[in-house]
Amino acid sequence: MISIASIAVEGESEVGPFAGSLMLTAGLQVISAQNAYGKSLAAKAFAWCLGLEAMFGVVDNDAGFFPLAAREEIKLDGHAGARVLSSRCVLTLIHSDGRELRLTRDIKGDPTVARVEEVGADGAVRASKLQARYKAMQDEHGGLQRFLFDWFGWPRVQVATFKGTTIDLYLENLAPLFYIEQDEGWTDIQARQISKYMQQQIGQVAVEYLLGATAAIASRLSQQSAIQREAALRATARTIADQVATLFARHGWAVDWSGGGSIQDTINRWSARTLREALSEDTSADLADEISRLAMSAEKLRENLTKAPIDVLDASSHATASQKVIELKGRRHELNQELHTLRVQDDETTGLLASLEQRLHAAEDVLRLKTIGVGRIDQIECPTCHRDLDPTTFALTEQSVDSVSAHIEALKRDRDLVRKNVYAISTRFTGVRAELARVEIDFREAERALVTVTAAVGTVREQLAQTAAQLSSTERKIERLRETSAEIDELQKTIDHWLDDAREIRKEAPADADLARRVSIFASALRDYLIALGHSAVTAENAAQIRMDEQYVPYLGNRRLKSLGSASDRSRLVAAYSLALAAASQKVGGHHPGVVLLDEPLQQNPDDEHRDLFSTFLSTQLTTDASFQTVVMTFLRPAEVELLVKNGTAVSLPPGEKFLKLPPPPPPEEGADEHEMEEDERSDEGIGGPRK
Amino acid sequence: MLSGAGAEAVLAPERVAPSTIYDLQYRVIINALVFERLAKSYQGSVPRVQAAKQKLAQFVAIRPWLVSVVRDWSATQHVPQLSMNVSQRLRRGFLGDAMHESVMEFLIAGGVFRRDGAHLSAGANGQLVEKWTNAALTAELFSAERAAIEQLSTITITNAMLEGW
Repeated sequence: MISIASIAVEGESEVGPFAGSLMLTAGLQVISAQNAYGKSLAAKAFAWCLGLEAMFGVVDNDAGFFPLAAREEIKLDGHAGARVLSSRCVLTLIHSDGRELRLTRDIKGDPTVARVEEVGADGAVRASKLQARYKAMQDEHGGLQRFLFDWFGWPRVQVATFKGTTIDLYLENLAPLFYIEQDEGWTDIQARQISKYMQQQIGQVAVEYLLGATAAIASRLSQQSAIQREAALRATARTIADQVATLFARHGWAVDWSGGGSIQDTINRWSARTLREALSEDTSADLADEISRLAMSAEKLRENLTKAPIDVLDASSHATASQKVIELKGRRHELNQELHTLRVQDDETTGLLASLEQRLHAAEDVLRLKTIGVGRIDQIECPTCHRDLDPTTFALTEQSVDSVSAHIEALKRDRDLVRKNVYAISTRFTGVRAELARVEIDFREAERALVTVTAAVGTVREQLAQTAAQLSSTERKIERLRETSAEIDELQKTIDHWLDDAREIRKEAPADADLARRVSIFASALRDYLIALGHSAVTAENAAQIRMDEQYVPYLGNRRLKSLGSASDRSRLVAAYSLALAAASQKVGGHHPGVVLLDEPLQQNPDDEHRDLFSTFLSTQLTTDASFQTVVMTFLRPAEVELLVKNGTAVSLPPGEKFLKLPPPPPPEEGADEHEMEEDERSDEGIGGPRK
Repeated sequence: MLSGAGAEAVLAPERVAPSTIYDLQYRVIINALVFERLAKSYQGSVPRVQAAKQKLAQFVAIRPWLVSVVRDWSATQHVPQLSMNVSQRLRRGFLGDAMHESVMEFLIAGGVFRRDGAHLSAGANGQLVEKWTNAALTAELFSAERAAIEQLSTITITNAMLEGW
């Protein structure tokens, strides 16, 4: 656990150096200063030193979200519009084990580098320069985020992306839960969460990480990875099955070698028999036997050609050769007709399949939309009264995840049916084309044989010519079968390799019990904070109905808490969520930094009632006794300050009109006014409240 | 009689589940994608789109195979008989898309869109359109629908094509 010891901004201008700093202590403290004092500058300095600028929607190392006073032109006491020559932020953190860390990063200068000074528990100082954004997590030795995770004692975790890859969980993914900045931070829970890294379910992962549920995150990643690997394996299985089907169809063999179904189904099927066994069982074709039979036939033809006696009276050779040509020509015509019919069927069925695929893809996207929570329409509320609109009023329904899943199943069944048709047509198409190719070859050979036999003079030469043509044809068949045999062996190797890969996939069971315990403690803390903050929809009686959904969105009964209460309750919910997460993390030993920074919570609702509620909240035991550091930057009226101090809350009133100012003149050597010194000390360190 | 014959009722939930085409969330996102791509600003006004064009575009976006029909229709619009021939199927389905009107009413009530005569423009909660569009892009959702909208944006859809609906 860490706490912020100080936040400072300093620099040089045309009229001399300038600086501003806030000294902070552990526990709750309220920094109260007028608007435009520079409180948010200090809050941004905290984010800048930690390399969190991505939260503000700027590119890496872009300090453009700082006010001009910190980077271009500053108004200093008596000097309007002094040009800023250089400026930097300095953040000092203290670890609960006594170590100290001082981070310095230029605003105007070289913002790509963060200068780090580590002070060990033994007082030893170690200085280094780290890359603020470039490979900040990946670079083990030079990355700022990597260093910070190590210094905090936090583990690195990987998150799945929508691209199917994995990526680190970054500090800027966690910060929206403990750093609520002024501009957008109050509009929603994790309003400043980063989406540009395309991390899946990042909102949930960030909550789980801060609660210390790293096993659940690992399990989530493992499941996502397994799903992606399974999808890739299924695609590969289909490709292999297509190759097998094409090969067998080329020879007219109908073999059942499907690549569809689940991974386990495919493993079971493909392990049960080899390709050769399947070929033998389904078609009774045995390549080795066939080659052997053809070899014997070739040997016999060779013998006939060279040694066997010839019947000089046998004049049937010409008629036989001619008949074969006629038969093959007829067969070629039949096959061409069948091919045409199959082509038409294939076009229509493929079109139908494409339409089904598109509908299925859309339905699966809708399911993803509902499960990952992006673009949820429950954000639609009446612009006037801020109540949720009920779709049924408009005769509309929002389908449940179960309903969409059922529809997907129906589409899958239809698609599978049509896909089988396409497959059957395609297989037949391939078979017919292959047979046509064979018939073409046989036809040409038969034509050549007929020409030779016709040209031969006498029955003897006719018979010899015919036998020679048959021998040549048989030898070519043997060659083709040997090539096919080699192709089958090659495919079998691919199948064996696929089986090895598929058997390695193991899904880890999610760490449900541990996660549920942590989330339950978080929900309990949230109830306490919502009541303490005075959320108008939450009472002591109904607080027990507060629960988290699977995305850690808080609900009261069946309604999202965000939609309940008044508009001013939105900021109460954000504050309660952040503080409850910090409190829960302390209880369950999570990875929360132990700091919650709330920038201008009162600006969201400046009415008196809200101010009273918030002041009361800051005085509650729940807030003042919290073991983590809570920094509230706001402006309190004197009476509010007085009340808080009376109730033991630490309130700091930074001196001067502006956070950044010229350095004070050197103290007088002697005769200092004791009364003034006391005033200054009180202003610098805050007034009232216990120090922890 | 069925009972006597020993017939048993079998419930197949997937056969009674409605198509996701009728899911509100889906239709809302598709409308957001269409509006984001097709709405234009005229002389400094807020981006707006003809309501009829929005209806046609979202109808085709969720049925991407109809893009070619719209393209043929656009190409043949000056030849009435050809135009009638290619657009019949599209017109018939499009006219019956009553759900779109309900979705529009819902979004207008929610301040997402605002009726501006025959046009639609962004309402008080118009920022949701960009938010949903970005969410769909980031999560790489509805790529086929987005591709269809992109293709539609290259097709000239005239007032004559939109009239009478």
